[in-house]
Parts: sequence; structure tokens; C-alpha cells
Amino acid sequence: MGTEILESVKTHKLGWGVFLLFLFAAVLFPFFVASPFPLHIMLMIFLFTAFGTSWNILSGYAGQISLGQSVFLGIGGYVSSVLYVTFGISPWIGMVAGMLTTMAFGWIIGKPCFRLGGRYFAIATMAIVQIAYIVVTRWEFVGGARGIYFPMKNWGFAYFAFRTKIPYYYIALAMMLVALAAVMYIERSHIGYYLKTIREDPDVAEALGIDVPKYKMISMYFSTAIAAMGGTFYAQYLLFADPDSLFMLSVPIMLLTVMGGTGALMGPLIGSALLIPIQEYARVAWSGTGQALDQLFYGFIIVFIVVLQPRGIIGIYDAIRDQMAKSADRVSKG
Amino acid sequence: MEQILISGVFAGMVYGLISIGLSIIWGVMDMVNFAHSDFMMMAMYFTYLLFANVGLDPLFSLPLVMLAFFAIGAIVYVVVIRNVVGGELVQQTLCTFGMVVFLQSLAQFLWTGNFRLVTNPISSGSVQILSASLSKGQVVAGFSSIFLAALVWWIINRTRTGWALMATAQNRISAPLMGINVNKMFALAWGIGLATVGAAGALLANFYYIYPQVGATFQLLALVAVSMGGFGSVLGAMLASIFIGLIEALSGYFIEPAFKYVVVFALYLVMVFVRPQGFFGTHS
Repeated sequence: MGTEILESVKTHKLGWGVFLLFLFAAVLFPFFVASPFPLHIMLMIFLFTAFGTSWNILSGYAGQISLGQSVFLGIGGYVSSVLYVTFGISPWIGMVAGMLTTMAFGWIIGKPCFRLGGRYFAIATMAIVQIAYIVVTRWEFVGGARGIYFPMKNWGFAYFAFRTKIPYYYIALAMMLVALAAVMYIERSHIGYYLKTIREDPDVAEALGIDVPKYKMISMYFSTAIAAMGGTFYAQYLLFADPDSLFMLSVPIMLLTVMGGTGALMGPLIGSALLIPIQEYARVAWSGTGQALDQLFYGFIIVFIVVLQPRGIIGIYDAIRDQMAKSADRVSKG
Repeated sequence: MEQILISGVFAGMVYGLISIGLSIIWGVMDMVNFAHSDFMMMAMYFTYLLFANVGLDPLFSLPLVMLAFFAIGAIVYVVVIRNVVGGELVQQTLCTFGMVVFLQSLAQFLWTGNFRLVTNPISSGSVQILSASLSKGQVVAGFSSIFLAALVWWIINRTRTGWALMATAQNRISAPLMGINVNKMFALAWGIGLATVGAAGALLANFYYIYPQVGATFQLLALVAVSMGGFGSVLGAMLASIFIGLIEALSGYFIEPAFKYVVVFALYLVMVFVRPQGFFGTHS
């Protein structure tokens, strides 16, 4: 028993060491690589890790599958963009406003659905994407199908707009750390245990006295707030907000998390570190013609992973480790 | 006004044909097929290709498409779905949602995103019903939907196979004890589900534009209809679909066509809040 605890401390320490090393490298990265494209890829990895994490909290931890996570980041991005371009309010304040608006949206969807099984919620999220897309496309006040373009005159931290990629890089890194810290907080507090119970068996959770709808809603708040935060960043980084770039990211967000490991802290990071470089290089190389082909690949991979190893790469890693531990055991007893 | 109501009812009948397959799969297997109307999109392309290449009218390709999609349903079950039966909800949902992405991009890849239309099928032109004038394709689709739905209802409620299907829906642990092969029943549910949605595709191909994302709005309407009608209830799905067709037509008329889905969705949320087991369902 004692050695087991010691082992787990050791492996965790090893994990932490690796993570801090990566973090250190990530902080120093812009000092050594100055060209924009690698910086772009790195910051997209950070951003999509945050997006993936927001999906993971709701779907991986609480088991409430969101099929339209992009809506939350879209609303966040749109709120801050409209406040900034139309009313001249700083995007930082807009970001907070976007987070609150998105949380309110989450409440509206969650309130009726969270009393019931997860499929009602999944259907609602599938519907809300289409509706948000239709409404935003027809709504001239928020730019319609054209979108909102930012005036290219104000630069600097107060305007959340920069001429170089380096400030964006550090902000994205910070956002990723905020998202991961939120998951760590959830994992270590009672919320994490409650959510896990709800995911495994809602009836048992109820029987244990857990207020199931309340904890689903808490995961919803975390998830929407992180998505909206990233949404503001994404709009500020692109310097525009339009329906096609903000509402169409649900599939990649889901895919990278499923690939890395659903319901695991590092799942989204592993997934986006693998997938984002491929996606961005493909975008540059094919510039849009490969659109359907990469989606085809995404769809296939989602089904494939889900059928064979639902816990993604982390699941595969765990399975191999267990296997090795077992065979080592057999040898030592042997 | 009469025009709006009648066209709403006829649109609803076709939604009904789409919904019953979804409802059967949902009821028998306790699983939501998010890719349901994307299989319908595939059936529309099948029908279109038969028309464009062989000159076969959508009316005559209907039985062919139904047979083909019955087989496809059973195959999809055996190859993919069987592996996630009894799995976590995350697994089941992502599995069929992955198929949505796969099927839509497959169509985009094979046939591009261009809109296609079967030109001058046998059932073209318009028909007068009361004071409303409808396209002949729409009328044929509506009546065929009712006929096929009745057929499915008869199979489920009046044949031994149908009883076995219902027994599986009620309790998949004791069904095998009665000598029912549950695996076979699940494959049958998928077969019937996709055959009916395939038929809907062939009927819609008579008068509806065909493009890779055509399934998306139908999927939403069908899911709302099934939630309303109660899972596994053929009659419920049909009535709820006609109701949705009416709501959609009326809100398109009184508000704005683009926002009719907002109304349908709001209806869904209210429905889930007030009576989650549906109007005809017995359990939630």
C-alpha cells in the first residue's frame, strides 16, 4: 500500500516535471523563433487547448455532450466585438461581458435539459448552432453574413490588438493556463468527484444526495466562460468576427479532445498539439480546396477512436502502462 | 391562409416519415441517431444519380432506395453501432455525430457543394387541394409517407417480428430469455429506420434541392418531433411531425421564414421542460 502511494507521487512528479519543462520552453519560444508562422501555430495550439478544455469540462467530466461548443465561443467573440466596434468599449471589458452573456445562454439551455438525461442536452446544442448561425447571418446590427471588421487604427494592450504575434502568443498561453487551472481546481475539489459520479451514473449520484442539475450547471458555467474568453481572443486575433469563423469550430474542438483523451486534464493539449499543426499546414498547402477532405478525415477518425478507444491517446497510454505493469508483475512473481 | 395550413400539413407528413425511423431506433435501442437525416441526404443523391445516369424516375427508384438503405442500415449497425451498444452516452453520441461529419463531407467530396435538382420528374406540376395549390411532388410525398408509416405501424404492431422488436425495446435483458435474438432486432431497427428515411429522401428528391448539408434542418425537426411524439411511437412521431409542419408554416408566415426554426427550437425547450416523455410516450 505504502509503495503504491509512493509510486503515484513519483509518476505525478514526473508528469509535473515534464509539464513545467514544456511551459518553460513555451515561455522562451518567442525569444528564439521570430518568424510569424511557428508562433501562429503555437498560439493556435494554446487557444484550441482552451477551447478543447471548455468542451472537456462539460462533456468529458460532467458527461453532458455539447455538439455545438462553437456557439459559446461565438457568442463571446461577438459580444466583445460588437461592444468594441459599435460602442468603443475595451475588448477586455467586452470579454467579461461576453463571458457573462454566454453563461446566461448556458443557463437557458441547461435549465430545461439538465433535469433529464444527457441526450436532451445534446439535441439542444445541435439545434442552437444552427439557430445562432441563422440569426447572426440575418441580423444586420451584428454585421450579418459579412461580419464585423475592426478598425485598424488602435493598437496596444488596452485595445487587445497588436501588430505582432508575440503579445497574442503570451495572452493565448495565459488563457490556456487559466483553462487548465480551472480543470485542476475542479478535479481536486468535491465538484470533480460529483461530476464523475454524475457522468458514470446519474441515478446513483441522485441517490447519494448530489444535486445533479446544480452540478451540471456549474460545469456549464466553467465551460461557457472559458469558451467565451477564447472567443474574444480569437476575434481580436483575426481582427474580425463573422459567422463562418466563429460558429463552425465545434467539430475540430470535439475531435482534438476526443483524440487526446476525453475527461483527462491533458487530453485537449495532447490533441491540439497533434492536430493543429496538421490543420494549419494543410490550410496553407491546400488553401481551402482540401476542406471536404480534412472533414472527411475528421469524421472517420471520430468514429474510429470512439469505437476502438473511447479515452483517446491517454487511454491507449494507460492501457499500455497497465499491460506492462501486469507483465512486470508476472515476471517478478514468476 | 388555407394554403399555408395545407402545405404545412403536407410538409409535416414527410417529416413524419423521417421521424418514425429515428423514433424506432431511439425506442428500441435507447440511442439517438444524430446522422439520421444525413442518411436521407445520401438517399437523395442516390435517387438523383439514378435519375441523371440511368433516367430512372424518383418514383420508380423509391423501392430500390428503400431496399438499399435497409441493407445499409443493417450493415452500419453490424460494423459500427454494435460496438457502442451499452457504452457510455459520450461514446454513443460522438459515434453517430462523427457519422454526420463523415457523410456530409463525403457528399461534398464526391459530388461538390453544388445544388442539384431532379428536373421534370413524372410527379411535377401542381395539384389543387381545396383552395391550396401544391406541387405534385409534395402531394405524392405526403401520401406516400402516410402509406409507408401505416405499413411500419402494421409491421410493428401486428406481426410476430414487430412484437419481438417491441419486446426488445421494453427489456433487452429478458427479451433473449423469450428466444429473441437482440442483436438481430437491433439490426432490424436500423434497417427499418434507414429504409424509411431513405424513402423520405427519394420522395423529397422529386421537388427539393439536393446538397450535402440538406439533412441538417430535417434532423433538427425530426429530433424535436420524436421528443414530442415519444420514443418508439410511430403514431406519435407522425402526429408530432404534422404539428411541427403546421407550426413551421405559420411562424414562417407570421414572423419571418428564416426564424421559423427558432420557434421550433423554443417549442422543443418548452416541451422538454413541461413534458419530457412526449405527448404519446409512456416513459422518459
